[in-house]
Amino acid sequence: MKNYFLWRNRVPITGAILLLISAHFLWSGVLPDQRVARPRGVVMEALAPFQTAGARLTEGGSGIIHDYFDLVGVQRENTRLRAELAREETQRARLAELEVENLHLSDMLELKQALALRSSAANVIGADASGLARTLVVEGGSAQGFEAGMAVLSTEGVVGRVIAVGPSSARVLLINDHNSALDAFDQRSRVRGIIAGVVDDGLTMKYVDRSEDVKSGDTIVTSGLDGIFPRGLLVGEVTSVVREGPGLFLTVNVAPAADFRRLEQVLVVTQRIPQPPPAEPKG
Amino acid sequence: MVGLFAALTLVALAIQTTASRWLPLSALVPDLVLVLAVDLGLRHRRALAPIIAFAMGYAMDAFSGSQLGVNTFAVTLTYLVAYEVGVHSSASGPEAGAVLVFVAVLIQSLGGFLISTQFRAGGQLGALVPAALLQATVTAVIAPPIFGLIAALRRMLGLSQERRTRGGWVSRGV
Repeated sequence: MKNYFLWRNRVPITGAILLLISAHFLWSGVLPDQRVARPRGVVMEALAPFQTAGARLTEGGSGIIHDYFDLVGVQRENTRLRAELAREETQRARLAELEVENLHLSDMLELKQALALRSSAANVIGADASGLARTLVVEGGSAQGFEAGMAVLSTEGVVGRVIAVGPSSARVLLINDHNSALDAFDQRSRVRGIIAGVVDDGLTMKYVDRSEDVKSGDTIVTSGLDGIFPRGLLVGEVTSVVREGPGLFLTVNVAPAADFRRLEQVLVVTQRIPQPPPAEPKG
Repeated sequence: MVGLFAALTLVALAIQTTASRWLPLSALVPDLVLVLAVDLGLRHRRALAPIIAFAMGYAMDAFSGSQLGVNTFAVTLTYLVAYEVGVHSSASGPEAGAVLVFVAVLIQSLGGFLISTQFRAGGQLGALVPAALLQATVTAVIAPPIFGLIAALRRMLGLSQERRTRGGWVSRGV
């Protein structure tokens, strides 16, 4: 009778056991690069070619879409001329794209040289699968020397840090994710705080004492004290400071310098950063 | 069935991780893996099905968020709820599936946020609600055609579809 019960309920029982295992993952706080990393690496590896192809398609596709809209009004032209024009326009868009890419790469090279640390450029090939968390997938993984915890930068400013690495792709936690935190300071007043992501895409600077001097328009840069990001990199600009309300600390809202939705190439710092002397910034 | 859902999960993840580049808002990217989990729960009643759902959630965890388990838990739970709905009610059509998908996306987004922040950022939950509602609506709207697509693929591949009888589950070739 017992066996019959088990057999009749084998699906919910199997599901419940698996639910308990996933709850264990949750409550044990397993981070993406700890334990069970190998099967995840296999999934990342399997998906990387699709994502790379998708990224290439996006780059090429945008030119074709724009060409299409340009041609909508020209309905009376004959088919041959239309096709010829489309070809020319596609070619022009491709050349313009190459020019932009060239500029991007030149900027990246400049940044790489200015950093004076070993680093490697990587193409962005994917975003977060849920659409609500803030992560990216980049082309390049353990084969390029990427490791979890490495800093990821763009020509505009700090992007995030590597959280999971596969053989040829890696995941990056953006600084505007709600689980991200980095040590930074106000370049003008030298006040230190922790930059964390907020849900509506911006950043906030936490743990800034109410008596501290922080103003709108101040530039926020990395302190280098978190051991991940080199010192002095641009994080963003203070957009507002709220002094009213309860609590010990100020609410400092910061607009990130990097536009995370438009990122195409990033620089992964593959060398451990030297620790700066901890004396200068206050807070 | 394993092969079909493995392939569909890969396609779903490829779309989910690249579609945001085409769309103006990342919340417009549908959660296709949850749609697959609901279809699996409503139409597949073998012990292998929850294992497939678990693997789908685990695969999604490889590409989402910063903590392992959020999607594994959500997708397995979605499968189990869809399975129970399919077993205990006659509502297992695409409309019921769409409602399940809507609720599942909301619970995954909001619950996942609370769990990953260890319930310390509850104040920010309100800001997430519009995006979660938008994503849940988009996913629910496209769910019925996806159910149809999966059924067509099953027919094409000659896979069986289970249905309930008074005496238990039987499989029938479609």
